[in-house]
Amino acid sequence: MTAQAVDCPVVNAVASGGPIALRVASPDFPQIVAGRVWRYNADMTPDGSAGTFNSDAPDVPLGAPGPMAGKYFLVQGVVLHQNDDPPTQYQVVVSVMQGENVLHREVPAHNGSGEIGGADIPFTYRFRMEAV
Amino acid sequence: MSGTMTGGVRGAMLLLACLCVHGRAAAQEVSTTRSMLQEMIQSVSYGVPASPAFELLPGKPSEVVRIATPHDISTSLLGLLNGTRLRTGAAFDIRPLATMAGSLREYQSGSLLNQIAWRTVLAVGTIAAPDASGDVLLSAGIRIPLIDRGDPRADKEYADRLQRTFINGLDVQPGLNDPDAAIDSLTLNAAKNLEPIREEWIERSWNAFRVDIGLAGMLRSRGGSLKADNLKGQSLGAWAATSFGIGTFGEVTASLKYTSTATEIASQESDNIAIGARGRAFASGSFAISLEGARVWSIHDDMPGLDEQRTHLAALAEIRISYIGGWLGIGYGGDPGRSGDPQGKLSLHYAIYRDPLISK
Repeated sequence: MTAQAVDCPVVNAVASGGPIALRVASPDFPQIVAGRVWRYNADMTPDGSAGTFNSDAPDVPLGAPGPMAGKYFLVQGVVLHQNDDPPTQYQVVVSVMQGENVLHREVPAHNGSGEIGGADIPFTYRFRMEAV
Repeated sequence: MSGTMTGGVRGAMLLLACLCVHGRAAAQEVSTTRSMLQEMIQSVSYGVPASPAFELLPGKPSEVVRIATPHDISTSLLGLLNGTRLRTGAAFDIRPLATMAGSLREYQSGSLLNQIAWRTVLAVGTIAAPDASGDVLLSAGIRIPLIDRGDPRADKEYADRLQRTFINGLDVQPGLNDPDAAIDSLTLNAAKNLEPIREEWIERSWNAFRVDIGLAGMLRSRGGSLKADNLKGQSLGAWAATSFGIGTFGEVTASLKYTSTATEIASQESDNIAIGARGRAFASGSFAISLEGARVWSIHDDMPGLDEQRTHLAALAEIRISYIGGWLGIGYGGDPGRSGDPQGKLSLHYAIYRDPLISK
């Protein structure tokens, strides 16, 4: 992985491998996580929505590795509060997968973990796909 | 002013006038302060305390640290100590079994134990003994909501609706290089659409069926020392309560409470048992009524002659008076048969005040 113009990880998929999917989930805590994945061209211009995720359907299919090479993705999500008192712990895990193989897994640096009480917590995560 | 409001004000004034006449006729039985009404409906508590540990302490800790992450647990445990001695005024609460709950899907479809583990809250607190002896009181307690039909996480339909509505609000693609704070702002803007759904949920579930239990124990530490021979059991407490709804407008709560205190003064109460029930109902945001009854046993191990049994009864009705932006409260109750106590007979109280006493 190398840093690019946008400071984000680059995820290398096998060009001849199967389709890529993104999973955004809270695997260890019963928190409600939902959001949308946005796609950007290699020149960082917007390319629309890649799909949505929620606690029931955490996987977003991104497509075959070839057409995705050089594209950027932005995860715009939220952990929805349930007025927990005392506050509860949450941790969002973002995984990029090719079939059953996990290519990259990370907790978003921006609000990806912590505690939640009476306010929704937004989080973001960016990465770039490459096919090798 | 509308005719209805005028009629309401006239009715309230008439009612007040009648009460004043009654008050002059039986001055010793009537009071006109909100605090008397409050005392009448709060002298017996129904339900399990939010933090049973703090219920045993003679004063509630001024600041309670809310702990969510395992890292904070060790930090807070150390915060209870000042060197090798207990620090006073330290308090925290935590969900010790939260990691057993699993994902939301497991929480909704798994066993009841997942939900109980998540909802269980442990609290620990210290406070200086009130007798200025330099001793420290250390209390620990646990509250276990065994059943909570008003748990929003357990309601899949509600969670789905929140998620669907939120996602539908994410309709503007941010710039890839936009600062996180700007994207957060878009995200939270979409989440604003959830407020009506949340309010509807609260309205629908405020009186859902619940069963709670609570347990607590308190130690007295001589001089704050943690050595075993300087620690002495001081109090124990146990609570159990259940509540259920009557339509969407009412709720009934039944509870049982037992506390036991080691006392060296014979005239002080050693055990207290209370069993009671309370019903509350609300109508159109402008009328509320609360009815309660309890039986309380006060036991003195060393002086049985001081033992006392009392019955507590109270009824309170509150009417909102739009014209003055406040409430008229009329209550009737007391502890009939309790000797030597101003509340030892049933009496009437009324007052006008700003904030209602009966709440959901």
